[in-house]
Amino acid sequence: MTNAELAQLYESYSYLVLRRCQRLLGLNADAEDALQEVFLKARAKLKPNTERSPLFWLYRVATHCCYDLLRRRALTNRLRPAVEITARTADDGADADRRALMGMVLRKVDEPTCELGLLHHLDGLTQDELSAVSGYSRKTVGKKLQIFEREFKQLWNTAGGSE
Amino acid sequence: MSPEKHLRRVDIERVAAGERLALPHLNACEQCAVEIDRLRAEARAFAARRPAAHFIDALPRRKMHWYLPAFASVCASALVLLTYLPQPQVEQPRLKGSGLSLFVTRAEATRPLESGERPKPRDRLTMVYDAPFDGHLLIIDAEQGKPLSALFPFGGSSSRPISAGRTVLADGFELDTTAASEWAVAIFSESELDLSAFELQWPSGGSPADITCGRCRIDVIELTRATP
Repeated sequence: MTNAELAQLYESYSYLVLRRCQRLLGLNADAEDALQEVFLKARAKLKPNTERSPLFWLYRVATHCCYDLLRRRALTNRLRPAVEITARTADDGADADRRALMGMVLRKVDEPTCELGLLHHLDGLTQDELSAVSGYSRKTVGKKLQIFEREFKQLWNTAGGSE
Repeated sequence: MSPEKHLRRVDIERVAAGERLALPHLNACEQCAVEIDRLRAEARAFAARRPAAHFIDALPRRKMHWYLPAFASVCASALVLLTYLPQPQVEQPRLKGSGLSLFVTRAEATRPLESGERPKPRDRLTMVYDAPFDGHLLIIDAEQGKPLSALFPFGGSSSRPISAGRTVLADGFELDTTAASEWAVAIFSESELDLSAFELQWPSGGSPADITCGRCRIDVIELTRATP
Protein backbone atom coordinates (compact mmCIF):
# COMPACT_ATOMS: atom_id res chain seq x y z
CA MET A 1 0.00 0.00 0.00
CA THR A 2 1.37 3.40 -0.96
CA ASN A 3 1.57 6.27 1.50
CA ALA A 4 -1.20 8.08 -0.43
CA GLU A 5 -3.49 5.06 -0.11
CA LEU A 6 -2.62 4.73 3.56
CA ALA A 7 -3.34 8.42 4.13
CA GLN A 8 -6.74 8.01 2.49
CA LEU A 9 -7.49 4.98 4.63
CA TYR A 10 -6.39 6.84 7.73
CA GLU A 11 -8.59 9.85 6.96
CA SER A 12 -11.63 7.65 6.45
CA TYR A 13 -11.24 5.19 9.29
CA SER A 14 -8.73 6.31 11.94
CA TYR A 15 -11.34 7.94 14.16
CA LEU A 16 -13.58 4.86 14.08
CA VAL A 17 -10.69 2.50 14.76
CA LEU A 18 -9.46 4.63 17.64
CA ARG A 19 -12.95 4.71 19.15
CA ARG A 20 -13.15 0.97 18.81
CA CYS A 21 -9.79 0.50 20.55
CA GLN A 22 -10.80 2.89 23.32
CA ARG A 23 -13.95 0.88 23.93
CA LEU A 24 -11.95 -2.32 24.25
CA LEU A 25 -8.96 -1.02 26.14
CA GLY A 26 -10.20 1.89 28.19
CA LEU A 27 -6.82 3.55 28.42
CA ASN A 28 -6.34 6.19 25.76
CA ALA A 29 -2.58 5.70 25.54
CA ASP A 30 -3.07 2.00 24.82
CA ALA A 31 -5.72 2.79 22.24
CA GLU A 32 -3.28 5.13 20.47
CA ASP A 33 -0.70 2.33 20.42
CA ALA A 34 -3.29 -0.07 19.03
CA LEU A 35 -4.29 2.46 16.36
CA GLN A 36 -0.69 2.72 15.21
CA GLU A 37 -0.37 -1.05 15.20
CA VAL A 38 -3.54 -1.45 13.12
CA PHE A 39 -2.34 0.96 10.45
CA LEU A 40 1.10 -0.61 10.39
CA LYS A 41 -0.60 -3.90 9.61
CA ALA A 42 -2.82 -2.23 7.05
CA ARG A 43 0.24 -0.76 5.31
CA ALA A 44 1.81 -4.22 5.16
CA LYS A 45 -1.19 -6.40 4.38
CA LEU A 46 -4.33 -4.63 3.32
CA LYS A 47 -4.80 -4.59 -0.43
CA PRO A 48 -6.84 -1.55 -1.42
CA ASN A 49 -10.12 -2.22 -3.22
CA THR A 50 -10.04 -5.96 -2.50
CA GLU A 51 -11.80 -5.97 0.86
CA ARG A 52 -15.56 -5.99 0.83
CA SER A 53 -15.46 -3.56 3.71
CA PRO A 54 -12.18 -2.02 4.89
CA LEU A 55 -13.91 -1.23 8.16
CA PHE A 56 -14.60 -4.89 8.87
CA TRP A 57 -10.96 -5.70 8.12
CA LEU A 58 -9.69 -2.87 10.31
CA TYR A 59 -12.01 -3.83 13.17
CA ARG A 60 -10.81 -7.39 13.01
CA VAL A 61 -7.17 -6.30 13.14
CA ALA A 62 -7.98 -3.79 15.87
CA THR A 63 -9.58 -6.55 17.96
CA HIS A 64 -6.48 -8.65 17.46
CA CYS A 65 -4.18 -5.79 18.52
CA CYS A 66 -6.32 -4.99 21.55
CA TYR A 67 -6.36 -8.66 22.49
CA ASP A 68 -2.56 -8.62 22.45
CA LEU A 69 -2.41 -5.44 24.48
CA LEU A 70 -4.88 -6.78 27.04
CA ARG A 71 -2.89 -9.95 27.42
CA ARG A 72 0.32 -7.98 27.88
CA ARG A 73 -1.42 -5.67 30.30
CA ALA A 74 -2.75 -8.64 32.29
CA LEU A 75 0.76 -10.00 32.49
CA THR A 76 2.18 -6.67 33.57
CA ASN A 77 -0.57 -6.16 36.10
CA ARG A 78 0.14 -9.54 37.59
CA LEU A 79 3.64 -8.30 38.22
CA ARG A 80 2.65 -4.76 39.17
CA PRO A 81 -0.78 -4.74 40.82
CA ALA A 82 -0.36 -1.10 41.86
CA VAL A 83 -0.53 -0.02 38.23
CA GLU A 84 -3.85 -1.81 37.81
CA ILE A 85 -5.30 -0.15 40.90
CA THR A 86 -4.27 3.29 39.67
CA ALA A 87 -5.75 2.63 36.26
CA ARG A 88 -9.00 1.38 37.75
CA THR A 89 -9.48 4.34 40.01
CA ALA A 90 -8.95 6.68 37.08
CA ASP A 91 -11.65 4.85 35.14
CA ASP A 92 -15.37 4.90 35.25
CA GLY A 93 -16.48 2.03 37.52
CA ALA A 94 -19.01 0.41 35.21
CA ASP A 95 -16.62 0.54 32.25
CA ALA A 96 -13.85 -0.94 34.35
CA ASP A 97 -16.11 -3.83 35.36
CA ARG A 98 -17.13 -4.44 31.76
CA ARG A 99 -13.52 -4.42 30.66
CA ALA A 100 -12.48 -6.68 33.52
CA LEU A 101 -15.11 -9.18 32.37
CA MET A 102 -13.95 -8.72 28.80
CA GLY A 103 -10.38 -9.29 29.93
CA MET A 104 -11.41 -12.57 31.58
CA VAL A 105 -13.14 -13.73 28.41
CA LEU A 106 -10.17 -12.78 26.29
CA ARG A 107 -7.85 -14.74 28.51
CA LYS A 108 -10.07 -17.80 28.45
CA VAL A 109 -11.09 -17.95 24.81
CA ASP A 110 -8.71 -18.36 21.91
CA GLU A 111 -7.93 -15.36 19.77
CA PRO A 112 -9.94 -16.08 16.58
CA THR A 113 -13.00 -16.95 18.65
CA CYS A 114 -12.62 -13.70 20.55
CA GLU A 115 -12.32 -11.67 17.37
CA LEU A 116 -15.45 -13.21 15.94
CA GLY A 117 -17.33 -12.88 19.23
CA LEU A 118 -16.55 -9.21 19.57
CA LEU A 119 -17.30 -8.41 15.93
CA HIS A 120 -20.61 -10.21 16.28
CA HIS A 121 -21.73 -8.91 19.65
CA LEU A 122 -20.07 -5.52 19.69
CA ASP A 123 -20.47 -4.51 16.07
CA GLY A 124 -23.41 -6.66 15.08
CA LEU A 125 -21.75 -8.36 12.13
CA THR A 126 -23.80 -11.24 10.84
CA GLN A 127 -22.40 -14.73 10.55
CA ASP A 128 -22.16 -14.34 6.77
CA GLU A 129 -20.18 -11.14 7.18
CA LEU A 130 -17.94 -12.80 9.74
CA SER A 131 -17.38 -15.67 7.36
CA ALA A 132 -16.41 -13.22 4.60
CA VAL A 133 -14.09 -11.15 6.76
CA SER A 134 -12.40 -14.05 8.57
CA GLY A 135 -12.21 -16.67 5.85
CA TYR A 136 -13.83 -19.29 8.11
CA SER A 137 -16.79 -21.26 6.84
CA ARG A 138 -20.23 -20.22 8.03
CA LYS A 139 -20.41 -23.42 10.08
CA THR A 140 -17.08 -22.74 11.83
CA VAL A 141 -18.13 -19.19 12.55
CA GLY A 142 -21.30 -20.53 14.17
CA LYS A 143 -19.34 -22.95 16.33
CA LYS A 144 -16.88 -20.30 17.46
CA LEU A 145 -19.67 -17.93 18.35
CA GLN A 146 -21.29 -20.65 20.44
CA ILE A 147 -18.02 -21.16 22.31
CA PHE A 148 -17.65 -17.43 22.86
CA GLU A 149 -21.19 -17.09 24.18
CA ARG A 150 -20.89 -20.13 26.44
CA GLU A 151 -17.65 -18.87 28.01
CA PHE A 152 -19.03 -15.36 28.36
CA LYS A 153 -22.17 -16.61 30.10
CA GLN A 154 -20.18 -18.82 32.46
CA LEU A 155 -17.94 -15.93 33.46
CA TRP A 156 -20.87 -13.57 33.74
CA ASN A 157 -22.65 -15.95 36.11
CA THR A 158 -19.47 -16.57 38.10
CA ALA A 159 -18.96 -12.82 38.41
CA GLY A 160 -22.47 -12.47 39.87
CA GLY A 161 -24.16 -10.90 36.87
CA SER A 162 -27.56 -11.78 35.55
CA GLU A 163 -28.63 -12.65 32.02
CA MET B 1 -40.01 4.33 12.19
CA SER B 2 -39.31 1.85 14.94
CA PRO B 3 -35.83 1.70 16.45
CA GLU B 4 -35.54 -1.96 15.45
CA LYS B 5 -35.36 -1.01 11.83
CA HIS B 6 -32.60 1.54 12.17
CA LEU B 7 -29.26 0.79 10.60
CA ARG B 8 -26.78 -1.25 12.54
CA ARG B 9 -24.10 0.84 14.23
CA VAL B 10 -21.47 -0.77 12.08
CA ASP B 11 -23.34 0.17 8.91
CA ILE B 12 -23.69 3.74 10.12
CA GLU B 13 -19.93 3.75 10.68
CA ARG B 14 -19.27 2.31 7.23
CA VAL B 15 -21.42 4.95 5.59
CA ALA B 16 -19.80 7.67 7.67
CA ALA B 17 -16.40 6.42 6.53
CA GLY B 18 -17.43 6.71 2.91
CA GLU B 19 -18.27 3.13 2.01
CA ARG B 20 -21.05 2.96 -0.54
CA LEU B 21 -23.91 0.82 0.71
CA ALA B 22 -27.29 0.38 -0.89
CA LEU B 23 -29.44 1.11 2.13
CA PRO B 24 -32.92 2.43 1.31
CA HIS B 25 -33.53 3.04 4.98
CA LEU B 26 -30.88 5.74 4.95
CA ASN B 27 -32.88 8.08 2.74
CA ALA B 28 -35.99 7.68 4.83
CA CYS B 29 -34.55 7.88 8.34
CA GLU B 30 -33.56 11.24 9.63
CA GLN B 31 -32.24 9.78 12.88
CA CYS B 32 -29.70 7.57 11.10
CA ALA B 33 -28.71 10.44 8.81
CA VAL B 34 -28.10 12.66 11.83
CA GLU B 35 -26.01 9.95 13.44
CA ILE B 36 -23.94 9.62 10.28
CA ASP B 37 -23.42 13.38 10.07
CA ARG B 38 -22.40 13.47 13.71
CA LEU B 39 -19.84 10.71 13.18
CA ARG B 40 -18.48 12.44 10.09
CA ALA B 41 -18.08 15.69 11.98
CA GLU B 42 -16.23 13.93 14.80
CA ALA B 43 -13.99 12.14 12.30
CA ARG B 44 -13.23 15.46 10.53
CA ALA B 45 -12.38 17.08 13.84
CA PHE B 46 -10.11 14.19 14.71
CA ALA B 47 -8.41 14.34 11.31
CA ALA B 48 -7.85 18.06 11.78
CA ARG B 49 -6.17 17.44 15.14
CA ARG B 50 -4.21 14.47 13.86
CA PRO B 51 -3.43 14.91 10.17
CA ALA B 52 -2.71 11.77 8.17
CA ALA B 53 0.70 13.05 7.10
CA HIS B 54 1.87 13.41 10.71
CA PHE B 55 0.54 10.01 11.64
CA ILE B 56 2.19 8.29 8.68
CA ASP B 57 5.48 10.06 9.33
CA ALA B 58 5.35 8.79 12.89
CA LEU B 59 4.81 5.18 11.83
CA PRO B 60 7.95 3.14 12.35
CA ARG B 61 9.68 2.32 9.09
CA ARG B 62 10.17 -1.26 8.19
CA LYS B 63 13.89 -1.65 8.32
CA MET B 64 16.21 -4.51 7.61
CA HIS B 65 18.02 -5.41 10.80
CA TRP B 66 21.77 -5.55 10.33
CA TYR B 67 21.95 -9.02 11.79
CA LEU B 68 19.70 -10.60 9.19
CA PRO B 69 22.14 -10.34 6.24
CA ALA B 70 25.01 -11.19 8.61
CA PHE B 71 23.19 -14.29 9.81
CA ALA B 72 22.32 -15.27 6.24
CA SER B 73 25.94 -14.96 5.12
CA VAL B 74 27.17 -17.02 8.08
CA CYS B 75 24.65 -19.74 7.22
CA ALA B 76 25.67 -19.70 3.55
CA SER B 77 29.37 -19.95 4.47
CA ALA B 78 28.71 -22.83 6.83
CA LEU B 79 26.74 -24.63 4.12
CA VAL B 80 29.55 -24.19 1.61
CA LEU B 81 32.13 -25.45 4.11
CA LEU B 82 30.04 -28.46 5.02
CA THR B 83 29.45 -29.28 1.37
CA TYR B 84 32.92 -28.85 -0.06
CA LEU B 85 35.42 -29.49 2.71
CA PRO B 86 36.70 -33.05 2.84
CA GLN B 87 34.83 -34.96 5.46
CA PRO B 88 37.00 -36.14 8.34
CA GLN B 89 37.55 -39.87 8.27
CA VAL B 90 35.58 -41.66 10.89
CA GLU B 91 38.26 -43.35 12.92
CA GLN B 92 37.57 -46.99 13.45
CA PRO B 93 38.24 -48.16 16.94
CA ARG B 94 41.34 -50.17 17.50
CA LEU B 95 40.11 -53.70 17.76
CA LYS B 96 41.28 -56.62 19.75
CA GLY B 97 41.38 -60.09 18.34
CA SER B 98 38.83 -62.91 18.19
CA GLY B 99 37.84 -62.41 14.58
CA LEU B 100 39.56 -65.55 13.35
CA SER B 101 38.25 -69.07 13.96
CA LEU B 102 39.66 -72.30 12.62
CA PHE B 103 37.73 -75.44 11.78
CA VAL B 104 39.63 -78.66 11.62
CA THR B 105 38.69 -81.51 9.34
CA ARG B 106 40.08 -84.81 10.49
CA ALA B 107 38.89 -88.26 9.40
CA GLU B 108 36.17 -86.54 7.35
CA ALA B 109 34.74 -84.88 10.43
CA THR B 110 34.82 -81.10 10.79
CA ARG B 111 34.74 -79.26 14.10
CA PRO B 112 36.00 -75.99 15.53
CA LEU B 113 39.54 -75.95 16.74
CA GLU B 114 39.19 -75.32 20.45
CA SER B 115 41.04 -72.57 22.22
CA GLY B 116 44.50 -73.87 23.21
CA GLU B 117 44.04 -77.01 21.14
CA ARG B 118 46.83 -77.74 18.72
CA PRO B 119 46.21 -79.24 15.29
CA LYS B 120 47.83 -82.40 14.06
CA PRO B 121 49.90 -82.94 10.94
CA ARG B 122 47.73 -83.51 7.86
CA ASP B 123 44.76 -81.78 9.42
CA ARG B 124 42.84 -79.69 6.95
CA LEU B 125 42.03 -76.26 8.35
CA THR B 126 39.24 -74.01 7.20
CA MET B 127 39.41 -70.36 8.22
CA VAL B 128 36.36 -68.31 9.18
CA TYR B 129 36.55 -64.62 9.87
CA ASP B 130 34.08 -62.27 11.62
CA ALA B 131 34.67 -58.75 10.33
CA PRO B 132 33.19 -55.84 12.31
CA PHE B 133 32.97 -53.70 9.18
CA ASP B 134 33.92 -53.82 5.52
CA GLY B 135 37.73 -53.98 5.41
CA HIS B 136 40.81 -55.79 4.26
CA LEU B 137 42.08 -59.09 5.58
CA LEU B 138 45.50 -60.65 5.37
CA ILE B 139 46.29 -63.95 7.15
CA ILE B 140 49.95 -64.68 7.47
CA ASP B 141 51.63 -67.98 8.07
CA ALA B 142 54.47 -67.23 10.49
CA GLU B 143 56.76 -70.24 10.86
CA GLN B 144 59.99 -69.95 12.78
CA GLY B 145 63.03 -70.03 10.53
CA LYS B 146 61.02 -69.26 7.40
CA PRO B 147 59.92 -66.09 5.67
CA LEU B 148 56.30 -65.01 6.02
CA SER B 149 53.74 -66.25 3.53
CA ALA B 150 50.05 -65.60 3.09
CA LEU B 151 47.38 -68.11 4.07
CA PHE B 152 44.68 -65.74 2.91
CA PRO B 153 44.71 -64.94 0.12
CA PHE B 154 46.70 -68.16 -0.19
CA GLY B 155 50.13 -67.38 -1.64
CA GLY B 156 49.21 -63.74 -2.15
CA SER B 157 51.27 -60.65 -1.41
CA SER B 158 48.54 -58.29 -0.17
CA SER B 159 45.23 -58.32 1.66
CA ARG B 160 41.83 -58.98 0.12
CA PRO B 161 38.70 -56.98 0.84
CA ILE B 162 35.97 -58.71 2.84
CA SER B 163 32.53 -57.59 3.89
CA ALA B 164 31.31 -57.04 7.40
CA GLY B 165 30.03 -60.20 9.06
CA ARG B 166 31.10 -63.81 8.97
CA THR B 167 33.03 -65.04 5.96
CA VAL B 168 34.12 -68.60 5.37
CA LEU B 169 37.42 -68.19 3.60
CA ALA B 170 37.62 -70.51 0.66
CA ASP B 171 41.37 -70.76 0.93
CA GLY B 172 41.63 -73.65 3.37
CA PHE B 173 44.90 -75.49 3.63
CA GLU B 174 46.40 -78.77 4.80
CA LEU B 175 49.06 -78.80 7.47
CA ASP B 176 52.40 -80.38 6.74
CA THR B 177 54.41 -82.39 9.20
CA THR B 178 56.90 -79.77 10.31
CA ALA B 179 57.80 -79.67 13.97
CA ALA B 180 58.68 -75.97 13.98
CA SER B 181 56.62 -73.44 15.87
CA GLU B 182 54.03 -71.88 13.59
CA TRP B 183 51.20 -69.38 13.90
CA ALA B 184 48.36 -68.07 11.81
CA VAL B 185 48.29 -64.28 12.18
CA ALA B 186 45.14 -62.61 10.88
CA ILE B 187 45.43 -58.89 10.31
CA PHE B 188 42.25 -56.94 9.59
CA SER B 189 42.37 -53.32 8.59
CA GLU B 190 40.19 -50.62 7.09
CA SER B 191 42.83 -50.11 4.40
CA GLU B 192 44.76 -52.44 2.15
CA LEU B 193 47.68 -54.34 3.69
CA ASP B 194 50.89 -55.44 2.05
CA LEU B 195 52.69 -58.62 3.15
CA SER B 196 56.10 -57.01 2.58
CA ALA B 197 55.32 -54.44 5.31
CA PHE B 198 55.39 -57.25 7.88
CA GLU B 199 58.40 -59.15 6.57
CA LEU B 200 60.78 -56.72 8.26
CA GLN B 201 59.03 -57.37 11.57
CA TRP B 202 59.68 -61.10 11.24
CA PRO B 203 63.31 -62.02 11.67
CA SER B 204 64.03 -65.72 11.74
CA GLY B 205 63.17 -67.14 15.12
CA GLY B 206 60.79 -64.28 15.83
CA SER B 207 57.60 -64.28 17.80
CA PRO B 208 54.14 -63.44 16.42
CA ALA B 209 53.99 -60.67 19.03
CA ASP B 210 56.56 -58.86 16.87
CA ILE B 211 53.95 -58.41 14.13
CA THR B 212 52.21 -55.14 14.73
CA CYS B 213 49.95 -52.90 12.74
CA GLY B 214 48.45 -49.60 13.85
CA ARG B 215 44.65 -49.51 13.90
CA CYS B 216 44.43 -53.15 12.84
CA ARG B 217 42.82 -56.10 14.48
CA ILE B 218 45.30 -58.91 14.95
CA ASP B 219 44.45 -62.51 15.85
CA VAL B 220 47.06 -65.12 16.50
CA ILE B 221 46.33 -68.85 16.58
CA GLU B 222 49.15 -71.31 17.19
CA LEU B 223 49.46 -73.97 14.54
CA THR B 224 52.42 -75.78 16.05
CA ARG B 225 51.49 -79.45 15.64
CA ALA B 226 50.54 -81.45 18.61
CA THR B 227 52.88 -84.29 19.34
CA PRO B 228 51.20 -87.68 18.90
